[in-house]
Amino acid sequence: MPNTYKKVMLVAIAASVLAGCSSNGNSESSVKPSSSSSPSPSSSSTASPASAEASKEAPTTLKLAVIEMYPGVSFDNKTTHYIEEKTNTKLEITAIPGADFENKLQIMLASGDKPDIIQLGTDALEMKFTKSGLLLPLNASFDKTPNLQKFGEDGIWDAMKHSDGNVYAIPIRGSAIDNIPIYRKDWLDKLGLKVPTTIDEYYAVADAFSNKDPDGNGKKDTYALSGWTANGGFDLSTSDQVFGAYGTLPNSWLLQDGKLVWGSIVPGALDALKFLNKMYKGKMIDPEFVTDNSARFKDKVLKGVIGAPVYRYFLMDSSNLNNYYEPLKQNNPNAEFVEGGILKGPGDSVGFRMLTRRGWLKTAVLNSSPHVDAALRVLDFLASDEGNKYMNYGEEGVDYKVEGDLLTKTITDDQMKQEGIGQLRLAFNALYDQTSPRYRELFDYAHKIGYKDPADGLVVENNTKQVELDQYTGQQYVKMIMSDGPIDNMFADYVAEWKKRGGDALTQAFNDAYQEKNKQ
Amino acid sequence: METVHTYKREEPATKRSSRLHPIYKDRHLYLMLLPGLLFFIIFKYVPLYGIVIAFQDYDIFRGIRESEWVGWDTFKEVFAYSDFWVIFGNTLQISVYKILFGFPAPIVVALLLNELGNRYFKKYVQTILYLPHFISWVVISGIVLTIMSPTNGVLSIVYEWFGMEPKNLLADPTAFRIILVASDIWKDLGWGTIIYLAALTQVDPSLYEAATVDGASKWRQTWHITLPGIRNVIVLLLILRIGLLMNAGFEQILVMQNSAVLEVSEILDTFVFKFGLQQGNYSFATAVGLFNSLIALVLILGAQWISKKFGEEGLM
Amino acid sequence: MNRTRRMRFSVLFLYLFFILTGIVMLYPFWYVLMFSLSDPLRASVNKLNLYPSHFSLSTYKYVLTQPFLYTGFKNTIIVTVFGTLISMLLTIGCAYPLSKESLRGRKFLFSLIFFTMLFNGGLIPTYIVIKQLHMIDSLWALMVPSAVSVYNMLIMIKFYKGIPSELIESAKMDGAGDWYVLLRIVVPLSGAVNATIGLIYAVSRWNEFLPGVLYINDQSKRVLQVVLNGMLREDSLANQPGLQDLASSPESIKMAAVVISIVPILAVYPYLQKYFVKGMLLGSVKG
Repeated sequence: MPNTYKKVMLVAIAASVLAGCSSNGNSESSVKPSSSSSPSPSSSSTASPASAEASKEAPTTLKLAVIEMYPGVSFDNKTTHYIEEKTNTKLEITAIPGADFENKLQIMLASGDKPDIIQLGTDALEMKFTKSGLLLPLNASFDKTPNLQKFGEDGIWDAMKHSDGNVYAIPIRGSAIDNIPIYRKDWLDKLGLKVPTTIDEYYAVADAFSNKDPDGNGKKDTYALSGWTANGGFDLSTSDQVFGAYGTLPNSWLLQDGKLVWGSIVPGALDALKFLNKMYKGKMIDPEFVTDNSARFKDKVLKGVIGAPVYRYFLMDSSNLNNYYEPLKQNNPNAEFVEGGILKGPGDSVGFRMLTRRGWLKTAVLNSSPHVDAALRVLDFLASDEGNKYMNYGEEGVDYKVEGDLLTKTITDDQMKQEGIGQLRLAFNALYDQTSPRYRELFDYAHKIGYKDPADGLVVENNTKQVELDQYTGQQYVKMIMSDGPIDNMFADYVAEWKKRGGDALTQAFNDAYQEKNKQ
Repeated sequence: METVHTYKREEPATKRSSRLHPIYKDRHLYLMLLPGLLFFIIFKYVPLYGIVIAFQDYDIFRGIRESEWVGWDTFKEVFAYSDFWVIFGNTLQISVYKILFGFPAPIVVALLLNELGNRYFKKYVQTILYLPHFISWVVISGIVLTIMSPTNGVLSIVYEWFGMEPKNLLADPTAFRIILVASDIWKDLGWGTIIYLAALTQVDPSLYEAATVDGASKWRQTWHITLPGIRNVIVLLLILRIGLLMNAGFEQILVMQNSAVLEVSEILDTFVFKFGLQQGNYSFATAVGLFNSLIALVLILGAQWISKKFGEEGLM
Repeated sequence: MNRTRRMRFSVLFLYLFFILTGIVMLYPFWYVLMFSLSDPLRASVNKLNLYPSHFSLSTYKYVLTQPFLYTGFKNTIIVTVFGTLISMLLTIGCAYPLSKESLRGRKFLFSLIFFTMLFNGGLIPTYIVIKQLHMIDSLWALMVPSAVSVYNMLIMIKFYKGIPSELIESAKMDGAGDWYVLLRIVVPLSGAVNATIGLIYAVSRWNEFLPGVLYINDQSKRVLQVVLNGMLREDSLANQPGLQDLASSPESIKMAAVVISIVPILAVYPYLQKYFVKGMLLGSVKG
């Protein structure tokens, strides 16, 4: 590892030392002295062998560069101290605001700052870092970190595995999860309709929702479907039920005869686009489906403009996770959503796309860290049931109570933030104990009707090509949905151009990676 | 009556100074320049070595010294991108429209503000005109979306009056360009006037008195006194604006563009953001940046040359 | 007779024009203000928000009790006041000598400075320079590295050149040095441009966000925009589906944050108005 770059100035840059962690920037000098006399405060009884071993030494100082989960909340709180105590470490945490998170991380690293533990967001960055040999293979020391090993046993490590067979990052999965088809139940009831099960029934419901005044205000102001745009790219997931009925999912890989095929270019996609085009002409799709952003889309669902999209099932959860349920009821007390299933189409239908198992955020240990053992100890502890539970809910009897099957928080969200619960998500797995039974039912249901992406976890080197092709697909799809005339030729041109722009090469690369991975 | 011509610069021929070496004579002026020059050297020239990133396969951990050299490969990759020239064309087109309509607008408004007699009215109007400048594009674009909404916006009401079917103009390529230019003017028109208002204070009021005595109309006064009085500033700002031709409005376009209008609204800056910075590809971003800088240099020198041809002093 | 009527008509037209333009220009701020005064659960991004929907001050209560809001204000005020001062000193220091055509090497120095307007080394090398100067986690990093804008400097040079050379030459005849001329003649006579450029610097310091993220790690040294951005979360990461739970702060809270960040800087403007007096410069020549 050619890491001779600018080692001289390490002392100058103390990573953000948040109150509580002593603001002593020269942490490099405090390499674990084994002859320390002070007894460790650790009283862990359930922790892994690694942390038990550690209890005889003085705390190791670890530097962390993580995404700032709670803006402006200091890390000098009981949760951080709890982790420090349990793992016999001292954590010096730089919390990077979400905006420009990866940018700042890279600039810090480029200037010679080398934390022990970092977090990153995109697969692109993970690939870049592993290519430079920066990250520590976590699986190499799984024997020392049993909890971490267990953390990903149900397939997560498979998804995280690189072509060299190593796992370099722990995926963090939050509470924002998969989507399912939802329908306004009060509208269905009013119009005397049932939750659709076939694509034809869906059309009838969509037509009624849009053109038969389900909200009874005498105005044409409701639609079945809409969508949104982020960074100039169109999000296709809100109409997954239509594509699924025609046996495909756009911008997703399908497995056909043992080979990966891109879901946007298969013939079924054309049929789905024709269907959407017909819906658009029939005023069942909001004309703003391409210009709205995600906030406006959410607002329209909550305010009763959109009635039959694929969207978050938080809407049906009275525990108001992520603030969906209450605003909906506030605007219209009668509003109620109900879940639907996979629509039966002309052929084999496909389920609903789920979020990648690779998480929205990842934690990794730097190869250059002088305290690899301590870093793994922290991650292992947070991956343990004890650590994860504490990160989710805090201290039993103080921050939450358990009544039968249901766990109830006894503190407010704000107190939760101040106590640092959920602040340091290094190996975090969302638990849903506190949510309503209804929510857990939906959670299970979503996994039942979810589409298992055969390519999840496959990462190819040239990520930029994928971005380019997805952007191009969004453009062409929107044109076809809004087209006045027939779209068969447009679709044929699109497929040809997609292939020409590198789609074929990308498909090949993914198939190679797929074969490679399945061999293992 | 005095006129501006009286103040034309005359080369001073003081005997005292001619005895000294000009550099020694101006030593205090150089001393004044020193802190500024140090600033430029430390914060602008020292980091300039970063330009070589464009010619490397830059790896942040190896740094510039150890990253692999790839010559012009990154540039080739940039130019080979399927839509590169479309994007380049969009950048120019949007920028030219913005200059054509957005550049004269603050001048006109500044001249009109200058005519306002009531000082209090003027003061409040000015403050209000500046307001949109302080609101970020994210918020402004939300407001534009709301106004333009074919379902519940102002525009849908207007369409209804005329008994027409509302259209989503933000998804219409031609209309989108107009909206980009118009909302840009909306946001920065007032803020753009401040330099001109400052320039107007430099115009000699006695010229107006003379003109009024001569019976010249307001219009003629503006044309023959006011505009020539601020001409230098206008030319300078125009040259600088032309130099910024490659910056067609990154923030605005990133938050306003959508898939339906992407082919007319993708500009170099949004392209670099999506395919360079967001992918952590600094070489890519630096290469496009360097390309932009070279074009800006050519444009500025060109504009400067033309302004000299017209007898203006241009940049300085 | 005809003429005065035409005049009166044009004056009327002028006022009418500014009233209409004023309404159009006021709307974005009005929208933000009304939105921020709405009940977070009822407010809607899809409404014109001409008035608050279910008036409520809860958004302000939320924003004003955020941790680090007041330190953010304090830091931003320090950066704005001292940063603008530094910027003005350096800019004037460059602009005045460069406005003198007799200065030897003027073209060269000018080109040297102008070049930096077009070419820059990028984020990483700049960060490394700032780091080597031990400015990371110091407010200096927000004031010094971007102190001089060549654009502003060029404008200033242009104005300084407009100062009649007789004034300067006659002062020099009386034995005044360059410092005296700069401080007693040039600067006082260019009140309007100094106020304008000062305002431009102050506003950009006030609004600056990225340096505050890049160069400051310590939460207690964060500037207002960074503190508020925690509430805004309009970043690209938040657009990814999994990050929705980071982006869930209600829109009306964002609007309150916008109002809170705008009002103080707006309050400064009227105080600068007195420098915009017509003909101040030439009046002094005759006087």
